Amino acid sequence: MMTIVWSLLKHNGKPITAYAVGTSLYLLMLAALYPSMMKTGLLEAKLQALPPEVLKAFQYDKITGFDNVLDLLGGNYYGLIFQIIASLFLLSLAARLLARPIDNGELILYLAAPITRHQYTASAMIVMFLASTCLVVCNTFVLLMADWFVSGVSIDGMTLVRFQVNALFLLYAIGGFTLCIATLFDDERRAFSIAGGVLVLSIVLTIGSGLSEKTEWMRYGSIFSLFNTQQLLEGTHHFFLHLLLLATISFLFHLGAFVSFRKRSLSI
Amino acid sequence: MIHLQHVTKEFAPKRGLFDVSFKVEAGMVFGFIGPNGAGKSTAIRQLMGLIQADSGHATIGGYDCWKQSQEVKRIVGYLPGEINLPGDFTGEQILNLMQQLHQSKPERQSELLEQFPFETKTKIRKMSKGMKQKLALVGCFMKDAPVYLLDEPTSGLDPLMQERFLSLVDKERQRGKAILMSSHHFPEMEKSCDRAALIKEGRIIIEADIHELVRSSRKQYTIEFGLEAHAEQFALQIGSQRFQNHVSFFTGNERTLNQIIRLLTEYDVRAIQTSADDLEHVFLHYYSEEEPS
Repeated sequence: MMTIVWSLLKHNGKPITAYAVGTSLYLLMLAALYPSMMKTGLLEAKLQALPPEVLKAFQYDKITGFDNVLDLLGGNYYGLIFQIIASLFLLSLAARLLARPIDNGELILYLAAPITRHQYTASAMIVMFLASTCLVVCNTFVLLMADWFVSGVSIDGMTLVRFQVNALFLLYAIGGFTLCIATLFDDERRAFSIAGGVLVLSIVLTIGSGLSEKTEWMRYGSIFSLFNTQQLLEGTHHFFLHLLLLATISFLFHLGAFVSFRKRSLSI
Repeated sequence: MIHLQHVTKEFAPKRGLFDVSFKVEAGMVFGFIGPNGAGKSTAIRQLMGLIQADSGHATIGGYDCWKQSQEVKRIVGYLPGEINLPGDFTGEQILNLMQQLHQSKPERQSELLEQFPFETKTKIRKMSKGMKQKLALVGCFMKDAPVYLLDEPTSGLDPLMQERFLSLVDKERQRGKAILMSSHHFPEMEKSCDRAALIKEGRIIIEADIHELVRSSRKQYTIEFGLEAHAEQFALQIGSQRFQNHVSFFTGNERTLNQIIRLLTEYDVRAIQTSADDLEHVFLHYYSEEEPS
């Protein structure tokens, strides 16, 4: 099975690296700019001018303000951008690992060999786990480097760990979902659009929940409510409960991927 | 070795496989002939454990093709009809990966690359159809498996490579391998197969020894006459069509070659030609018989 994992990593190494490096550079840029932003007060002034609904959508809190770089990242990056990037990253990875090889027949390279479908699904799952972990580890590493080397950036280690572990579990859960959907269809575009549609709906629900108190219930329809950066920063987040829920979602969808791929007929 | 028993897999009415049965023993090359969409690839996918049958039973080496697909694939070398491989990989990388996945010997790979040479450093997306076909052939046969399932194996190969492929198939047969081969290329099926089955709309319409199939078939002849008037008269006599001083006709149970020869003694005959693709005529004969009028 390690041969398959290694081959899949080799085949998908470039997009995985691109996402990990791209997001890390963005975080590094924000962390590096943070001290000068705080000095000029420009950022706070701009945010004050924005309507509260928009700030809520991005999970900014006007009251707490920006005591450290994580306050900024909690809204700017982890508030919404991370959710969009995570969705695109895992949608495209699941398509490359399963939906596309099923659609264009490349999968026969592996399935003509004496390996079971469970072994291939497990290999795809391992690659998704490794890719998600790589993204989060690179992001964490860059923030730690900024903490050590950029003056004026002070990051609370425990909050950073909570952020990243929660983000990682969110990636595992979305990865399970996209992988499961990829096993259901012969057509890559169909799998991509269905999984993408659900994730876009989740993002819309998250944004919609911030528009008014009446729409706050919408966040419970979105998986992204299990990664609430504002609550993580305030320390009011049900951290372990959310991790447990994300792990359960991840487990169930991965199980679904195994069952569905085992049973289906393949025209490859 | 390969055994299909009353296998049915229905995708849509007249699409899929319907009550298909055949056997391929060790040391036999079995040809699977039929037009596009007749069910040849579906039958091969059934054997590879890619499709689950609605009813019936498919086994290779005694292993159930769906339930024990891992054991089946251990003893099968498979050449798919469409060669789709990851475009970013080079031929060499694909062969190395296949070698690891199938645990095949590198010496066998070198031997096959000598017979079917191509630039192994080229990326798949830059390869021509013929190159990809050679890569797939090397990948399939380097496994040295007791059973081979070959779906349109000569597609895209030049005549020299086709000849080499046929001699490889012959060698493998002599080594006791069971080979199932689907193809549209009738001359190569005649040369390489021991038995053949004709399939149409998912049903096998005839299965027989290949030479028996050819022998029992209607054959087409073209007679060249010295005079157009003779051609005209002969065409009227046998109820056939004339083209200038040529008359073409089929022989069969109702019109034997002996009867025709007796008639021809009264004419000035310049030449008699037979069609080379005899198996193609068998194929067309059975298909036209089955066509609704």
